[in-house]
Amino acid sequence: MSTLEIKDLRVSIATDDGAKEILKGVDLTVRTGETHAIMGPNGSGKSTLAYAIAGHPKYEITSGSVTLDGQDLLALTVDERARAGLFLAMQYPVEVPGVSMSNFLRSAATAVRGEAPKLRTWVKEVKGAMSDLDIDSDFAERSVNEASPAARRSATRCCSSRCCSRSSPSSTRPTPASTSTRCASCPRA
Amino acid sequence: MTAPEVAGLAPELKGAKKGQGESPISSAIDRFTSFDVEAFEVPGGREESWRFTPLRRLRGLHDGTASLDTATDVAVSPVEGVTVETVGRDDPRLGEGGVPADRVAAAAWSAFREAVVVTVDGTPGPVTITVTGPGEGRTAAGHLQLRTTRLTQATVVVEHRGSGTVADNLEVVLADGSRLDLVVTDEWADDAVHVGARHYSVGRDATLRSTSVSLGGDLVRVSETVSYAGPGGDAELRGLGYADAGQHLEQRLLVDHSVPHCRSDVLYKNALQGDGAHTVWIGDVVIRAAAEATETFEFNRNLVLTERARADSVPNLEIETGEITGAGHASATGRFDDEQLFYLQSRGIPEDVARRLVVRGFFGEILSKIPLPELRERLEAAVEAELAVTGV
Repeated sequence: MSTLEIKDLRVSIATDDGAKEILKGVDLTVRTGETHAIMGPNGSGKSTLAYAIAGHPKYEITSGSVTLDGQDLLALTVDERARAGLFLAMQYPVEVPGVSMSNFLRSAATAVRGEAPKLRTWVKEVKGAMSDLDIDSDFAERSVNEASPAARRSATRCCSSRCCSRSSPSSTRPTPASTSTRCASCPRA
Repeated sequence: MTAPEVAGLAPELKGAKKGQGESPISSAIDRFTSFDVEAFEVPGGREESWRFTPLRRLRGLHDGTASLDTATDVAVSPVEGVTVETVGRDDPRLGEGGVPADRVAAAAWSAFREAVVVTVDGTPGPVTITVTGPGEGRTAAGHLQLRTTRLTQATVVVEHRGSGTVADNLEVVLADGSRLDLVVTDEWADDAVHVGARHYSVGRDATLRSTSVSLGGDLVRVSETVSYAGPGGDAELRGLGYADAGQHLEQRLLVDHSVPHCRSDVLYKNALQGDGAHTVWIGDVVIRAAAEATETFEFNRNLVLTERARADSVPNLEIETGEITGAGHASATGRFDDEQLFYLQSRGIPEDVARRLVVRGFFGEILSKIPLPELRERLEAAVEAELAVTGV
């Protein structure tokens, strides 16, 4: 059992007119197995909450705390938070030109598991995961998040599956993207 | 009479030459060329072709005060089908590749005593030519000509290494129907200054695939000119540069389409890191009236990894006929993308690994074109080592 606990979270972003407070004291507790949907009109701070927890540099946390099983997430770097088990499914993930999906997944898996996966079993594992998720095997050789929105969502699904979030107890997503409910509801695939 | 507007010329440079109120020539269509160093004026630094180059760091190559009294050392790996000759200045083949277009290239041409001519015939294995500088504190001129015979298919690597100050010309003459995969590297020691001119003559239906890699040296300025000796020529030029603190890397290209049905495609990518890192890319493409059905594209991208680095990029396209297949150019200079970094980190990848991934990805489309796996791996490792220098 894991618990993600957000307490009185206040978050600002820098604008031309100075810092603007977006989140004004958010409290939320999410336990393993629970699915929470955060709803609200445009600009109400749904994405800000997700990005702030993940550690996006654009957002400044002015007060409050976020803990995962008691561990202070806000003291961790973005990659440390991810390795602690936080997974942000992005609505519009950026393209990383020239970095192939397979290279990216292996780098992520290496970081998450603490050692590089053995090549022979790794290829099998990725193929298995991609086939389970009905992702065309061509995607492995494409650049990360290159081209179509469908491909981007595939990248998210593949990444949030067992390949590189073995221990993801918590998955947050700014907006439910149409086809990939699988990783939101079941990050461990 | 007012001077005509000259595209690409900063207004403040108008009338810079001798104060006569005339614009210096900047159109590549009527670029001046000569084998004679004295035919060129000593550059003052405001000329279009010199305005990006820090002349003070050229150690006198441009103004005649450098004595080009030694020669570069040229070593060619012995491969069957490859002939290596050392020839005198009177060899009639010299100059077939092209004519110097700046004073330093002409100075090198005027200074060399012997040239090395490497002729590649048939389908030989990969050839490696190593050009070594004269050593720290010394200055050398060099002349190397690389030739293919009809229908030859070959891969040649030219590596520049060592220390010192070097001015040289590299001629590449592709016979009709031949194909050359060429990789030229500048892997100089930190002290080196290299001003090199490369002249490519692409024969009828010949194919040139060239990759230029600039990593080492204090100042490296390479001017590449592609000309076509007959229709059907096809040239792809790739380039990779990695400038560290204080390093000046300059790539100047002219692709001169003067005959019909030829193709060119240029892609140069540079990364910069550290105080005073400077890259310059000039991409001139000329399509002359006779060059119908030309297809050309050129693209420069620069990735600025740290503050206080500077990338200059000047693409130029001059067209004298509308009867072409296609022509385009593009240039983009950007900082390291924080969104990419965040994305990769949010998947658990530590920051230093993520940065390496992005830079490796940036150069991937250049390095992946290098035909020899061992060389490719060595250059990939060299790029990684550059990244490690400042811990970016």
